[in-house]
Amino acid sequence: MQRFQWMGLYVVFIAAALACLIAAVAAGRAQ
Amino acid sequence: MRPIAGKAWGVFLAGLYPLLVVAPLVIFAALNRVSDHVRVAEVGVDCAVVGLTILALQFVITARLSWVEAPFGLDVLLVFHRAMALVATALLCVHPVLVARGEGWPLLVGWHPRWYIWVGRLALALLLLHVMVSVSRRLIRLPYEKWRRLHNPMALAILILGFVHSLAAGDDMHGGAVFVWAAVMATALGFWLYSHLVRPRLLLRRPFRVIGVKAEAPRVWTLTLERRGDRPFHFVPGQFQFLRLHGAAVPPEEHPFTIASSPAGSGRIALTIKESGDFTAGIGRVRPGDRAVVHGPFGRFSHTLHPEERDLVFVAGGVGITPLMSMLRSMRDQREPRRVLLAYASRSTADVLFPDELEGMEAGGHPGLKVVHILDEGESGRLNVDRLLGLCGGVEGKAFYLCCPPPMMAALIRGLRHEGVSPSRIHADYFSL
Repeated sequence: MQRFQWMGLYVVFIAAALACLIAAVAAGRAQ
Repeated sequence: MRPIAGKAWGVFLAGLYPLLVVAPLVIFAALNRVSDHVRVAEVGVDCAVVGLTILALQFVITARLSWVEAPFGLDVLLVFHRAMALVATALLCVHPVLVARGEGWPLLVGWHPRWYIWVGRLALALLLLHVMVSVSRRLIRLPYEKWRRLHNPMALAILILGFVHSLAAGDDMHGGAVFVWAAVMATALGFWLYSHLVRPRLLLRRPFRVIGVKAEAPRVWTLTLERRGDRPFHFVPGQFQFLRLHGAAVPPEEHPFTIASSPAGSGRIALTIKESGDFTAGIGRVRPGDRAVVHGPFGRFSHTLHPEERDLVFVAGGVGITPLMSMLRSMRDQREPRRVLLAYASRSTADVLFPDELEGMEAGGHPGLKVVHILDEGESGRLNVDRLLGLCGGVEGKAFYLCCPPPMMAALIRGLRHEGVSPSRIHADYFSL
């Protein structure tokens, strides 16, 4: 059961990290 | 007994996954430092790069590779696969909206865009349709087998269409970036081909043979399989495998079944199966000599992974006894001194599986087993958390292993958590995932 809880946190972490990375990359590359 | 991959390998894979997800985007940004897009459109394009990369990695996650599955368990991997599918779908839905906002709404709603925009629209429409069907599969009563026959080619079609769209529409798609992107897609395609075409043929070269079919209870059968040749089949008690039978009695489809026997069974495995669907309806007509293909083992529902737990409470509902039976048989064969309380819920006395063997184990002393039968037809009532706590005399120092129907499982987990039992001490076999 603990495995599912860790997995849920992991997905939230990935989603948040992706949002930050996409925003940062776009800000750096856009005109 | 082969040890299941340890924590360090799991941490490594969990750290590698986000790096792989962002790698193409970071490489594209390094190769082409300035893009032609305004910022909002660039965010949209980057969402698509990440979304498609996640879709490509789904083919690795779901390829049932033992080195990927072992540290997490297939149940967790499948839920992760679904969660990341939703993340990717969200990113790919945002993509056209933001690009159109930055570069003109006709890209989103126009009738005469370039061909590759239509390809992208088709890919996104198929993805949305597929996600909706997958999420509501039980609601629309789509049988798992039919859904799976749809899912495998559809996933590949969505990825290929997305790749074609990105090759034609992407500003980054020149020079080294094309090779990086093609490598990502080729990896996905390679894993798809391996898991759907190559591995089934490899498994056919190492077949099992049915050597026994035994009626255990009304509509419940135990198949005993033996591997041809000298190669042993390693598993830990509580694990499951995917079985495909090549005989006339059942269709040659692949279905997951828990192994009920002990790993000490010298190359033989026993699967206790209840007739509960189109496939299992013919299981009693399987005959000794029929060829079987076994893929596995999988799963982390095993007391052997938690040697520190000495006082165990097993909860079984109906045929959910099978992984727990494998653990009990293994404890008996290894003469493990653990204490086990087995609360075993069945519809009636006739539906109780392995009654004589359980009685023998209780008398044997290894493990220190106490079996409590809870029958729907009796006066004892259904098994709930109060009843369970009464049987095991409190939760202090105990570890719980649950394998029962989902509503009972959910209620017991809620109740145990309410009583302060740590999630690390509650192990559940989610066989209906």
